[in-house]
Amino acid sequence: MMEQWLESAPSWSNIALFFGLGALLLAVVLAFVTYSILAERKVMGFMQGRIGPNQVGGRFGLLQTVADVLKLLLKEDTIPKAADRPLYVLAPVIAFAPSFMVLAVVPFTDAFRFADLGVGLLYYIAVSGLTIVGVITGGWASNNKYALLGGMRAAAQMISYEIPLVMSALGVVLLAGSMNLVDIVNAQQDVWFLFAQPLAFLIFLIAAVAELNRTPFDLPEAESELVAGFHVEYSGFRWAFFMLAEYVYMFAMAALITVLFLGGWHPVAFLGWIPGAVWFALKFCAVVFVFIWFRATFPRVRADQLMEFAWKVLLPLSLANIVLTAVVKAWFF
Amino acid sequence: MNDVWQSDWSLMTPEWIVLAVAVVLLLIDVAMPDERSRRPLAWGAALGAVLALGATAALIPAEPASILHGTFRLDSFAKAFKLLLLAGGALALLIVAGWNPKEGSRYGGEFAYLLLFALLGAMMTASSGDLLTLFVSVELLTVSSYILAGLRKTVAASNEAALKYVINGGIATAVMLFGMSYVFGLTGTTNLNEIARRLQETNEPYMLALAFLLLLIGVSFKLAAVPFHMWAPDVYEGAPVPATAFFAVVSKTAGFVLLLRLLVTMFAAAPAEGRDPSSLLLSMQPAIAVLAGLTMIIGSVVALRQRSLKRLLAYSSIAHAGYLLAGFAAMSWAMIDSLWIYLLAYLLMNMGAFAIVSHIVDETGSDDWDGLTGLYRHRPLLAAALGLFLLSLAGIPGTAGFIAKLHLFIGLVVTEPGHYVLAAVMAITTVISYVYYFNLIVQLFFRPLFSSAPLGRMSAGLSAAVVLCALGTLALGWAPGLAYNVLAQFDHFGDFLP
Amino acid sequence: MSGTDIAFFLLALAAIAGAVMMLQLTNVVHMVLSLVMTFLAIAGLYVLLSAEFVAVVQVLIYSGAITIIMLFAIMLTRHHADDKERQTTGGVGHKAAAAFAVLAFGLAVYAGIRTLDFGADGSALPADNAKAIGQWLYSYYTIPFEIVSVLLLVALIGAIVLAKKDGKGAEDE
Repeated sequence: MMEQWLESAPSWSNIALFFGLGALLLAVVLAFVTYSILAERKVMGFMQGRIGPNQVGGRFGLLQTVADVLKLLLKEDTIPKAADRPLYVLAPVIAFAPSFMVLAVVPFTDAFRFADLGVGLLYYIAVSGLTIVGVITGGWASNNKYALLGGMRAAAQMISYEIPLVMSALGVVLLAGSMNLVDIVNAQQDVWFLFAQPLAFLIFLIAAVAELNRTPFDLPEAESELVAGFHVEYSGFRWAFFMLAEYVYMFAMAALITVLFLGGWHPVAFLGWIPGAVWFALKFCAVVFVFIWFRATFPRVRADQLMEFAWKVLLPLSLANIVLTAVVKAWFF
Repeated sequence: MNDVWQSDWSLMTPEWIVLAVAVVLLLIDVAMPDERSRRPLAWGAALGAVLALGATAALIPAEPASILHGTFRLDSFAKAFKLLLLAGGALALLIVAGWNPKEGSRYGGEFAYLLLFALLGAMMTASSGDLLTLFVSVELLTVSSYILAGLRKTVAASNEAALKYVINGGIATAVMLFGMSYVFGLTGTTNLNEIARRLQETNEPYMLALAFLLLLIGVSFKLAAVPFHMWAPDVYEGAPVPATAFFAVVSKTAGFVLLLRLLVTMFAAAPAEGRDPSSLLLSMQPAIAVLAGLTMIIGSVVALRQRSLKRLLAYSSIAHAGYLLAGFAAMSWAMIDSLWIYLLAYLLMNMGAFAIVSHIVDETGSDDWDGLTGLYRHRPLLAAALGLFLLSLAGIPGTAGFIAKLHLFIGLVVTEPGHYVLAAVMAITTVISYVYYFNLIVQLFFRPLFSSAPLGRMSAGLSAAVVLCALGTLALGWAPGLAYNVLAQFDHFGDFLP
Repeated sequence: MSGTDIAFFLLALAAIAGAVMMLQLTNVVHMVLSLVMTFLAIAGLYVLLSAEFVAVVQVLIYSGAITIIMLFAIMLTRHHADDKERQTTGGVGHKAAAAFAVLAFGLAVYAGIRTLDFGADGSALPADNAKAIGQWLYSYYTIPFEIVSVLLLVALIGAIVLAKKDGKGAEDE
């Protein structure tokens, strides 16, 4: 697949096709981000006995986020005098670009997918790691001690939790016998890996929340201790880029969890007449809801607990899971 | 998959022993209370090395064989050089066991098992018939060595040594790997015998020569051959003495093992342009000869100006590497035999000398040669032993060093055409080296006592190392037949080339 | 000219530009970031060679892990970026010699590879190359693979031994 594209003659129609497809996906993602922010506010409002946005765009506040984004884009763009200008400008881009790149390998349905990579899962993890470089660069370039601290915390947290994330996904890879995400979905025709790999799912979910810097692992952006972490000096559209990256990652991570553990576009039991895309969307929304639910109900963990939890609890557990899976696979399959 | 289970893993017994002992020691070290002395671990490691030595000796009668398509190869070359490596490793571990540095010996545990891991790397180098095994084994040896060099964390010189070693070692690795990549590109395989076979069919003498030179330069870094020797004196001086002994002896032996395995196996029958179209190795003789000549001259001449015992031994080891390279450049039919004998003698005399230097450094806190002054007055036996080692290093008849140098010299002269220039350089630099070795001997025996405080007793580990080395040096000097008997078992390494 | 050629040209340019910037910039953090650029461009070159596994691992290990560790080390230690404290060893003579050596080496290699033919190209690589690599590693190359695991153990021990505080100071803290 990749080879065909790369070796096809570069023509304008080709470029236009790629660009168009990319733009389409971007539009979908932006729509998701817009309404996931609204959903987050609405769900949290509901859980806290409030109403949430209800003014702009009708009774449900449907245009609230659009108004917020407009406001952000109109804001003054400030760059601190002591900041490292080139890196300060570059950092939001480095942070955002990978978040969009990872979407290339996620298969949404049997037909709607972009790249069919043999190492899709690994690609996702590798490229998402690049965002850390953007975050830590942004923190450093701001020349502000809170920003730097936040950046360091974010980097430490993200690399620490990346390891259990990968290790728990290995259980799935072992059972599916492939790192190709389409093959992984197809391997769940009968049993979702949620049930075949319950331990891996738990670890993956926790590590995913930490990777997304969401509550209860939102130390890098903890308002009450670090002002706002690595993006404290950012404003306007540069700040929006960081936020966008975060929500695109939420999109990507929810899609990945759906693909890895919830059987992707496969229907539940006898409900096969409902199209795969709807199933994917439903499962995907359930995962996003869980993320929001976590945010509304969990207190933040302490910095020292955070690291210990990754290295001393999740990592050994995920290693044990790999051994267990390997034994099961070797003896019972 | 079946290949893995059906292989005869007993061929790797010595490696298994070293690995198992290292891992067990590591676990013991972690479980031990902090304040307990780690010295027993070093003894355990030495015991492990001796066991592995026994296992290797027991494997000598075994037919040449390989595991997993030659990624591990047990031929006579591997057996012979593993004996040397393990003997050197065991002696170095004895020095570790007897090591008692001024800042306290908190490092016993790490020292013992890191040294064993390094030894494992060296052994696998000797036993590899595959570029990949060769490369990762050498890396295992060098990475362990970097850590060993920096183990005295509170001493600035040790930190500097580790850093210099890492940087230079990294460059050497990169250059070597670049050379390997061309060889791999031209042949498409990593198996050394297969490479040799396919290279005979290629017609790219220029690229092969380039690859050969890159590999030669990479290995020269590891051997500390001039002009790639600049790191050696600083590393040898800064590293803890047992580590220095290990670098000077075991790492250097492993370097020559690498040289032989890599260059001789692959290039002996590769096509070339120039002097000898049938063998790239032979047509590259001048390059190796220049390297050897420079190494001998610079090593000997610069050693004249050293007052630090460790630096002096470092330059002396550079000079010895030059003699060995000269033996390699000669390419006589008994080249591997003479290198083996030389490395054996080199091992005995250098390990002995380092054991005594270790004691002096521990007692006086410096490695200036003043520490030796008048040693004969209060420690006659120790002085005599050191004198013996120095005489052997200088190559005086009646010692191991003489026999070994004789072999190299004969190798240089009897080949057709003879390498008379190299032989002459070797003779002259040997004479130059008399100056600094005899200077030390004069210090030892004929000067009045320098410090009033006599040296303390030597610890058991150091004494054992000194006694073993002294006996070996004398035995090899007076009855070289002992070594010939061992060597006879290997039948001139007939199975070395494919 | 196919898309591959254009992609190769752009990636090679990015790789070289990153390397040159790495040498020329004065701020350590900038240097690390230009290194990231080189690493990524090299990963792109691997993709062109249809070695997708190596490409992805290159991004994961080099651009991800190693660079971030380097950034950490730089930000946690004191470093002087001031122009006043910058010093260089070696005068014009050294630099000229180095430039000459690099040029000579480049020419020597170029002379060799200009007409070099490595035979068949890599298009015969298995499509699922992660699987193929795994099978080679666990059968043919078991021994080097295991040595690498010992090597990693040694590196781990080394990192702990060298970084650990020991002595009485460690207990006080």
